[in-house]
Amino acid sequence: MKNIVQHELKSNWKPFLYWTLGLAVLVLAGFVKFLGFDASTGADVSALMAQFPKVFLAMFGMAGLDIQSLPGYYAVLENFVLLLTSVYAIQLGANAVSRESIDKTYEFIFTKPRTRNTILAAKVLAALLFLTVFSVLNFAFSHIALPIYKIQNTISTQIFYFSFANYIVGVFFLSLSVFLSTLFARAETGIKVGNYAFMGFYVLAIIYDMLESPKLIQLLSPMRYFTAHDILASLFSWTHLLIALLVSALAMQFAFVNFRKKDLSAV
Amino acid sequence: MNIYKFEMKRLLGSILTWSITIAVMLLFLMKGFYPAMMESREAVEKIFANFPPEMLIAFGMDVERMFSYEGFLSFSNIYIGLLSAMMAVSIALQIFAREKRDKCTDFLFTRPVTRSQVFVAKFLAGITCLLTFAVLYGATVFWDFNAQNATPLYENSLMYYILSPFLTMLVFFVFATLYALFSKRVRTIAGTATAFAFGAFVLSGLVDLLEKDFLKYVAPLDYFQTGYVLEHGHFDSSLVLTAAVVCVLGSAVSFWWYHSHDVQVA
Repeated sequence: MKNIVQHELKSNWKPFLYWTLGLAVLVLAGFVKFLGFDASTGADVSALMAQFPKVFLAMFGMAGLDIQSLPGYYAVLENFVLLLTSVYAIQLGANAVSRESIDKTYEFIFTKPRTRNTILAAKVLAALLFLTVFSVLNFAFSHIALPIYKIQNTISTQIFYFSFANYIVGVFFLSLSVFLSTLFARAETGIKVGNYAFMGFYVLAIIYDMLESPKLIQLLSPMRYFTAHDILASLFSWTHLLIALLVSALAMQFAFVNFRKKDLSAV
Repeated sequence: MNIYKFEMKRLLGSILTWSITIAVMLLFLMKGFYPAMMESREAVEKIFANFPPEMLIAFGMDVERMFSYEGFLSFSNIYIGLLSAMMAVSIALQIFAREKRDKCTDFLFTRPVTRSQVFVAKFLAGITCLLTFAVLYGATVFWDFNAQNATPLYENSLMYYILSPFLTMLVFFVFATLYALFSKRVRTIAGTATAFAFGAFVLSGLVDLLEKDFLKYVAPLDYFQTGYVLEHGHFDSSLVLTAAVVCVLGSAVSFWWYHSHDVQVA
């Protein structure tokens, strides 16, 4: 088990590096705009934004946020990080299930004296580790970015909540992707359906932002389990955390059952 | 010709799914959101009246443009462009990484056709796919434009909005072709396409943030940016030139590589 985890970490660190690079660029460079906008304009921008149709704002994750304030601006930035985290999580999940089939090395690993469950568990564990480090880095970069631009850090709580929330949503997408990948015979189909699911959930999140935050849609929309509105008020929805983890656990459970019976073949 | 036909047959489903997805996305934005946007015009105009005019110019906020059909189309193009790039990458990988993925390069290259012929057939198949998309997309935009009774801001400017996704696709098609040929293996097409598009998106965002003019040449997603068309009525010619050079050079390098490089046979 330990060998497999180690091997997985070693062979997947490259994509991790690229994704982290994207994250670093997004978070570290992301605050540049905040400066520009803070100095040159008055309070009018907020008034102007308020007049825009909600959908326009929702598409950029700006609905109901005052992007002239540091917490509001950070919330918009983290909404983009959420998209990045979700897509990376989907790739991690699909990779854990399908990589050996794609590389045509499945006969090699699945004839080792370890059960399929053990092997998949090790792979999922490695994927979760990458996601965890990715989220910790999100937290770290956010803390580093503020002093770089000489912005007073008044949002420590929010930074923690946003990073943690994005991590949980990431875990959800990772589990979903693992489940979807065990469902389809072709590896390609698994990741494709995963991407569709991502798009569907994204649209659902926009719809949620557009309609005055309906509870029922929120339940179906993991990207809005931890809303900027809540986090800015230093609230963290533990109920949604529980639901997200429960659904993830369920997806994993089904994934392992599927995987045990899956007819493994090349691609 | 056989190779061309084979590729087209394999790609047909993919082209249709992608084209329809993008067209539906466009209609969703134009039918669902454009009218909602128009409703807030008066309120925004009122606020703008209180702004100093110099500031409005500095921020490029022009009510006439912002609330025009093209203004909204230009905004939608952020999403359309992203999806187009993904589609182009996906098609190029399907075409040029097919043998690598299926480990049947030896099968293809032992047929009695030269490698140049194979490359040309495959390349043309790819271009045909992109053209098919361009026609479907153009028809959708044109139809909606007329259905909403919109008027163009400049003469022929609608043409640029129709062409923008297609031309962006050409650039990404060439990039992905190079990637397919040079990389050791392509694990999943959907995964690589997403990574490409996200990478380009982050790059464009970074260039946008840093506000250095010379950096615009490194953001391929914005070579045919419609924001520029909105202001000037045509594409940024220096970027068009860059894109043309990238496409020609990239295709030439791909051709040379495909033509002369030793292949891995499993």
